[in-house]
Amino acid sequence: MEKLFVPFVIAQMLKEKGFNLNCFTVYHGENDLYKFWAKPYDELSGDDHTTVRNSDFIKNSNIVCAPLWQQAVDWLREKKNIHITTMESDGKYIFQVKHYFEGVGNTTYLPSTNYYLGLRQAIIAGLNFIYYYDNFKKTSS
Amino acid sequence: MEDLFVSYELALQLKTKGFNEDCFTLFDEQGLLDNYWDLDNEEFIYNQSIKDLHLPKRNSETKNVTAPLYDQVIEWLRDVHNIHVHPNFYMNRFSNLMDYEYQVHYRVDNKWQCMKITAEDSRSNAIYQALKLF
Repeated sequence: MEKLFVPFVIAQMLKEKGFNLNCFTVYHGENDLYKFWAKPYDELSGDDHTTVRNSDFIKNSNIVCAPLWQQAVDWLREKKNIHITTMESDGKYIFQVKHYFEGVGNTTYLPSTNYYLGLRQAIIAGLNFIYYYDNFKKTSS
Repeated sequence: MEDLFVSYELALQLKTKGFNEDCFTLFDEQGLLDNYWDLDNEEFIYNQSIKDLHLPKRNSETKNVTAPLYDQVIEWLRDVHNIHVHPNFYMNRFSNLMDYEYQVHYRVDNKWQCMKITAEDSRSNAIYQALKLF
């Protein structure tokens, strides 16, 4: 089930960029995905069956919500107008990251032989667009 | 969180088509999603059957129907049946906003074919169409 969740580094970047949707579980430090679904009565939390949001852990920077890949892609599309799609041909994947900023479109193509590695690159590319435009807005204002 | 999971009708069809991956939760006999994550602590602790449901489940291990995430179904179609379901984004000239359709890519006689699904709830519809291919 772990493969359904984005890796820690992406979870952290998403948190930094304001991702605050309900998640099934959290990272408690790097590479430590907290398996709520397999540990109903874990020692760390009494109510670990409920969903969690990044805003629940403002005081504890070691804890980062772990979104599903599906949630990360949907959030980028719905909140940031960044659209990730994929095409497959003979075992190779091409990830397309499309976004529009102030009426100007931009598309990046990312080839990969591994689906999850490609998706990881695509989400990082999408997040990099956000970093870029956030900096652009700061410097131009 | 419910919108992350496929509908009961789709889950039933997936079971008949042999979907048997680990899932977070199940549908009950009435087709309701066991959303254990919304229960309060007390209710959770005293409901033994729900406690058991907290562990990953497979269709082969339950008389009920597992509730897969959309991502799990799309991955299963891709890896097990070589059917590729994905969104295609484009700029809608009329609204000037990004719009999307779902596409189903599959092979017939070694040639790729493509179905385009533009209806409402196109992701579910695309999966339904994909399930008709085998």
